[in-house]
Amino acid sequence: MSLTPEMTALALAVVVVPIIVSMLLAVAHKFSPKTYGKYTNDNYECGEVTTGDFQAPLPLQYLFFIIAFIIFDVDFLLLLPWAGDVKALGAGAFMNVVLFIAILLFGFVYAVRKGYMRWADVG
Amino acid sequence: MDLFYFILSILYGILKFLHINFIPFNWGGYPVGEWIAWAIVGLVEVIIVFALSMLLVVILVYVFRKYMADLQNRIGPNRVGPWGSLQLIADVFKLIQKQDLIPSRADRIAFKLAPYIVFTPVALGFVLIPFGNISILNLMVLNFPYTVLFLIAFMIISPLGEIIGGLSSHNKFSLYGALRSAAQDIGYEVPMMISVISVIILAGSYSANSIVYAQRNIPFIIPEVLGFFVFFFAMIAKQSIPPFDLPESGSELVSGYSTEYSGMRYGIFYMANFGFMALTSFVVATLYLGGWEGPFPFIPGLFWLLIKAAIFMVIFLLSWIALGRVRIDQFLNLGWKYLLPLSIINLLISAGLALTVGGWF
Repeated sequence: MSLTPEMTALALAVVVVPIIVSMLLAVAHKFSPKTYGKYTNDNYECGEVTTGDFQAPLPLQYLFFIIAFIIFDVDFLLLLPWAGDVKALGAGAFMNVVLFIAILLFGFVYAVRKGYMRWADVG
Repeated sequence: MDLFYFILSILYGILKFLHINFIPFNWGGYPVGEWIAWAIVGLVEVIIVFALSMLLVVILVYVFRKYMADLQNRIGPNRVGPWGSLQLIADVFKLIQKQDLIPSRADRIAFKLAPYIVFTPVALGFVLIPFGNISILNLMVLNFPYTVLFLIAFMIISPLGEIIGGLSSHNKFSLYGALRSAAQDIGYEVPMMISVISVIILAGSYSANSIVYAQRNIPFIIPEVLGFFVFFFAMIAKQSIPPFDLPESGSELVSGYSTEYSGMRYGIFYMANFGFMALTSFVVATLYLGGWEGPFPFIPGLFWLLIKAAIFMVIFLLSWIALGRVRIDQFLNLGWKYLLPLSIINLLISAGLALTVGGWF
């Protein structure tokens, strides 16, 4: 991937758009009132005084979903170079991809059968 | 004369006028002097498209409010400007006057960073969409061979800002909103990516413009109807609008990840939300309905693209107003056990089509 002027323009825009946003926020900060009371900077909890800690226990199922996501995301990223040139690579590459996906799906079906891909016992 | 060349020549003249001498050196195939000039021209066009997309967002918010009021038997905004059309401008001034509150418990750097991460990819995504084939106003703003990859990358980066904002608020509601947002993101992102890979397979290119050109005979919605439905559901989930508005469900979590954001910071989240609605409409229209391709060559392609995108915007608005909310386990079931297998079937079908009758596309 050679660096073209258009990619440079995109890279510059990644800098310029946040600058525009920060100018908007600076203007807003300039005109905003600055009155502070006892509870002004507390967390919002529907108008009541904030109580307790903010941390929450995570369900273990969360981790199974995240692991499945990482596996699928990385593996389908590997298909992108093949996707750009399917016609030239031909049937052999296609059969390899089918095998690749079949291995993935085997693991996925196993996880579903064992009940790992279940958020709670209500679905 | 092309707008691109026009601005280029002006800038080139300015640089010449300032006696800035260009180094005779090749970088990426372009002589460095012209390379700088072209990069600045591209940046100017990016800013023009940014301003136009913000205008589109303002129009979309107005249409949303009027349409929602109409369906709910109300009048909607009708005081500021003719038919209430300047309501959003008034809202911006209202937001500017609000106090800039940051909770004392929050992680300040991440809290301030989150609106930038949400908004910047949305604004930049508009730049990569091929807007038309008009030669007098070359609206394909940035045309390099990997635009679709960048587009999908931007659309995946933006929800990360929501998660960062929710986690850094150190608020119970925001925390649960961020966790749900993460769970929802991983539920639809894999099927979405597989659908895009199927489109790339049929078009044989990573460039959005080539994908549009590949649909000159048959729009990809016909060979890839499964992929279209998967991508469409993923786009509804991506905007987190009902029925998939789990991260910010108003009646359970106060406002999800954006609970602690007030004033202009919330305004940026709001603009990014509607900007996403416009952007996803353009993306669906480009990938599956043929983008700017239309039946009559004398009508500019921008017209067809806007019509196709407007159809999706209305569908998204209707979905937002009319539907209820699903539970998180129902959504994850949908994403993993239905959308994922459907998208893989679609991938294999499109690879088979590309290998057998690939000359049609």
